[in-house]
Amino acid sequence: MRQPVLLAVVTCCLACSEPVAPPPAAPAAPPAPVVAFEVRVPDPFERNAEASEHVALEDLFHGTNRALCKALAGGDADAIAALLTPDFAGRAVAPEPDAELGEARIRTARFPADAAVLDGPAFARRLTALTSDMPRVDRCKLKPFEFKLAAAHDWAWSKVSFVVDGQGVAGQRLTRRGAWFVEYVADAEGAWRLRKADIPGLDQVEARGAGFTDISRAVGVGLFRDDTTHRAVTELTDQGGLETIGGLAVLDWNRDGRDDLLAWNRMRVMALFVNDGQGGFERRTDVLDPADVGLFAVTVDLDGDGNEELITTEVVGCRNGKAAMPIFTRRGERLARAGDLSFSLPCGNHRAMLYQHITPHDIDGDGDLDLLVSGYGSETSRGDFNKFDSTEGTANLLFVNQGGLVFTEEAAARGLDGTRMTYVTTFVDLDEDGHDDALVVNDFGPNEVFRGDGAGHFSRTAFPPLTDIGQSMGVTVSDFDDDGKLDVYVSNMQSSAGNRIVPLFEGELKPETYRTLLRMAAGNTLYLRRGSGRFEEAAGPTGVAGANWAWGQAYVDLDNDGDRDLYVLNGQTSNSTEKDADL
Amino acid sequence: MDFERPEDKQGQADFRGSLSGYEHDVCFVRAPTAGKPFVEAGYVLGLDFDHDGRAVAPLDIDGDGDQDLAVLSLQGLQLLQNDSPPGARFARVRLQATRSEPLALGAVVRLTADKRSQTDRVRLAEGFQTQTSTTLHFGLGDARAVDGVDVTWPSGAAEHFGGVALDRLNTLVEGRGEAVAALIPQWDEAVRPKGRSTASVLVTALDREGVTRPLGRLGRPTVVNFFAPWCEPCKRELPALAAFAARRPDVDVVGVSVETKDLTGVLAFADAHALRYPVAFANDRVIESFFGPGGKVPLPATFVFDEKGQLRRAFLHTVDGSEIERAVDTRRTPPSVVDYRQIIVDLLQSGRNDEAALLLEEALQRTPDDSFTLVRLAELQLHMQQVDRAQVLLKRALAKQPDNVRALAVYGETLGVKKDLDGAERYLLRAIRVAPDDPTALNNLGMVYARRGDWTAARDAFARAVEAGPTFARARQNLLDAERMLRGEGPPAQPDKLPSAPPGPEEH
Repeated sequence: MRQPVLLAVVTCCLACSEPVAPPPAAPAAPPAPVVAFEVRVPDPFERNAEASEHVALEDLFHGTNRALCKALAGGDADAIAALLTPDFAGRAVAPEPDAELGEARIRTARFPADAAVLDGPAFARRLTALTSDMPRVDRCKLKPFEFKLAAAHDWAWSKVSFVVDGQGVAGQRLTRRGAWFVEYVADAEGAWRLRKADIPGLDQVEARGAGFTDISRAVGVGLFRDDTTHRAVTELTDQGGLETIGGLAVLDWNRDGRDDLLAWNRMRVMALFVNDGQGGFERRTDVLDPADVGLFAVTVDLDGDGNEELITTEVVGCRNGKAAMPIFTRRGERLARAGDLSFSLPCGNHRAMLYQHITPHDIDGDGDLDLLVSGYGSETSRGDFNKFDSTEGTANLLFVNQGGLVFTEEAAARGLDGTRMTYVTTFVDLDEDGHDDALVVNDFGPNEVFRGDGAGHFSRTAFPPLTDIGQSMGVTVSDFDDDGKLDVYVSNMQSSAGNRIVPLFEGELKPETYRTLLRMAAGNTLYLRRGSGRFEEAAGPTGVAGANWAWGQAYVDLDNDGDRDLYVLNGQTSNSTEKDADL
Repeated sequence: MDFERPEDKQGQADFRGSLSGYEHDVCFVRAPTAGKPFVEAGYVLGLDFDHDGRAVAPLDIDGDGDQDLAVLSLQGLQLLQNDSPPGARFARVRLQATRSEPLALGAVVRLTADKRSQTDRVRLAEGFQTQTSTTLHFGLGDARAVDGVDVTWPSGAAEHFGGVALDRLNTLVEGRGEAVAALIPQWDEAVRPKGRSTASVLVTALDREGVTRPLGRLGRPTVVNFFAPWCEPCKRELPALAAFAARRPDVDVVGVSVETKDLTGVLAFADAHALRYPVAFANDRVIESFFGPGGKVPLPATFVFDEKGQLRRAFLHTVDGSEIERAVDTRRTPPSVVDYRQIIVDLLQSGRNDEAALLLEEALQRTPDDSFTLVRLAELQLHMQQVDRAQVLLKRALAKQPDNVRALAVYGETLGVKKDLDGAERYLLRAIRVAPDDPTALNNLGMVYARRGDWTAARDAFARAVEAGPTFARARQNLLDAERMLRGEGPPAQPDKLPSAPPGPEEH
């Protein structure tokens, strides 16, 4: 029995991570006997976020839900039933998915909703169908994505995001996921059990003949993969001392038409991996002293002599308000200092996080590449500062190429006077006037757009929705909806905690603040170009919003089937405590 | 953000806990679904790593036309091979502008194949702290031809290009209207990596004299051939290997027998085939190193390492001499001192102390006075409780460089181990005079005071160590312990283990 479309929409919204209302009472389901079935939201609910979060995380996510997942992974219907109240009633999905869609390498299918209301043992048995064809379950998670605790702390409602990953009987990898709507009750001892559950459909994803293997060691590529360094990094993250690590570059160092790789990190390691064309990479650590390289470096010919330069965000000196970043140039198999990017800087600033990125772009159309350096933190940015609308970052820099590796810093003079905490800047014609504009992607505040005039002058402009609030880390400009026009994808922080907590304050916060907070928790943004300089934010409906705390991204054909996919890295800092087992 | 539970470290100073830690990377894949263009498929593609990911760049390491990925996270650098079956079509496009800067950064490229269009843009540094190739890759599935490419150049000019070929690198020069197609160099199918390997020439095995020694050494290319008397294909390739070994005295060849029961039979077999190179007998460590944990050995198997001990080729078929020779001679650059140091640091960081010690000893033969080698080896010796030997090495280093801070600090440590606290203090103070902010020396000095029971002085030294090296976890713990002692709360659990150096620049 198929459920109406409405339920499908509700499930869809799990992935788009936009807050949704709890599902309305489902229409009566003929021909089964009509049972009043509603997963209810407590009212009044607990507005103390700490108390509410404690139940959501400690009692449910780490307690009841994990136990349920463990039972499910083990196919143990009795153990599942033990987590349900005697008067439990639930609706689960059909035991079999619909026919798989397509013959593609990534196939999808859907477990449709089933209107029959099941008692505890029957519901438990039905759930085990979700893993009965998985000889190996790698992960199961039931995470409260929205949550309301009754004021009396004796029952709770949650929209739970469910996922189970495992290997199918044919050895293929399978993911099943979707939203559950659950009512929990606490008994006298404070143990939480499920009283009601509604699963309005689950999605299945399966790979056939696609995937990736880590071959780092086999081909001689790797940096920091050993246990000792891992421990050192974890120690640093434990103390909050590490957030970004460095970067990497794909280039063709020896001009043999094969991709080589340059990687560095702020632990003062830099290695060039030269593709030997013979099944391996030659690791070279003497191309450049890693102490000369900052968080970011980019390798590109800046003087038109066919030899690449390397420029980096490392500030190599500051005296009397004048600082410099070094320019290196290729000399044989080494990079040698060939000049400076000089600029004004109040000396004494904390150096490590000052500058995050360099964007080479010909901003004035004179045929050479200029450099926009994205300024991030300052000495104040580790303490108490405005986390939502910060303009206290280090000023962005614009180095205008004068030829012969001489550059003049002209950011303010040319209107690119951003002082937000910028991670990356890119140049693209947003307003469709034929000139590239600057899109400045910021942490701790809205992104910025500076309209370009094609001659290297810019003016700040409000450019909604691109200049809406966000906590942004990275950007990719490409065509994400295949309409031939360039769109903008931005990685942000998606927060399930935010989605649980913010709604507790609905009505108490100004509507604008409330929307802002929800927006900040919602995840990545995709601005689709709609013509005449207009964009529409559509990450949710497109299915590309939910990437957790997101950083870098690659928009490439991952499954080699002829269209582009999107890989998004995430995770802020993982500490050294035993990680939460996913089962 | 998910605040995971910092169970076992809650009390530690400054402990922050995971902040959205162990999140799984996501892949939004275009797949037929009800409703949305993209579906999340990180797990099914094997890309759902739980590291703290930062930078990702697509590349094609083997020229097979699919997109591999380089990924940098807080936990390291990974190279991920795209395992898609071969045969899917693609086209690469590289622009060369003539009326703007030549890379044409920002140019918009629309490629049409079988009437389907894809639009992309030339970029160099987008994403997060990533430089990508300026060559654009278009995956084309089962397309039969490229209809054409339309470019909007940075100059504003729009231009249509014909002659764009499938599975080729197409160079589009502004104003020419016709692409120039070139073949993409590929790795041979035989050498494409099949999975993880930690193969090392420094792994040890029993030789024919019954002595356990490493299979090879660094500084020379090494060929490791696995064989067994009952392996027919091995018999066919052994003459070529024997001839190669005779012809190339600059290359070490070693035969590793996977037959380990009938040792006499193996040696007779080796002699019958006139193998004049060393023969060793495989053990679990060797098998695990070359073929993975519980790995099965596919015979014949031959591995070629370069002078730096890096695996360059793995032949899982019968080899001939010229194949081996090519692999040995491809792109040889002799290892520099920097390489050796990097290898040593890598080995130390991986806990492969035995291999590191071997290499350090060898390096010492060549450069007896190199202080880096002396001090690192001394540290290893100290770690292995060879305190006297460590002191000898350190004295040599200090004779050469009396102000070598690390040597002074480690020497002080050796004296501390020998309970010569006054001597230890003297050397550590010397180290601190040279480098007042050396966290290791300061921390070790604190340990000396702690052993004397002078917790006030100890606390001050630890505090200075923490100030000098804010990320030096051990010093932090020592400081906490000292403060606890001063508050009269009893001795710390393990007060007297001398710590190693902090993570930081000097470690890498």
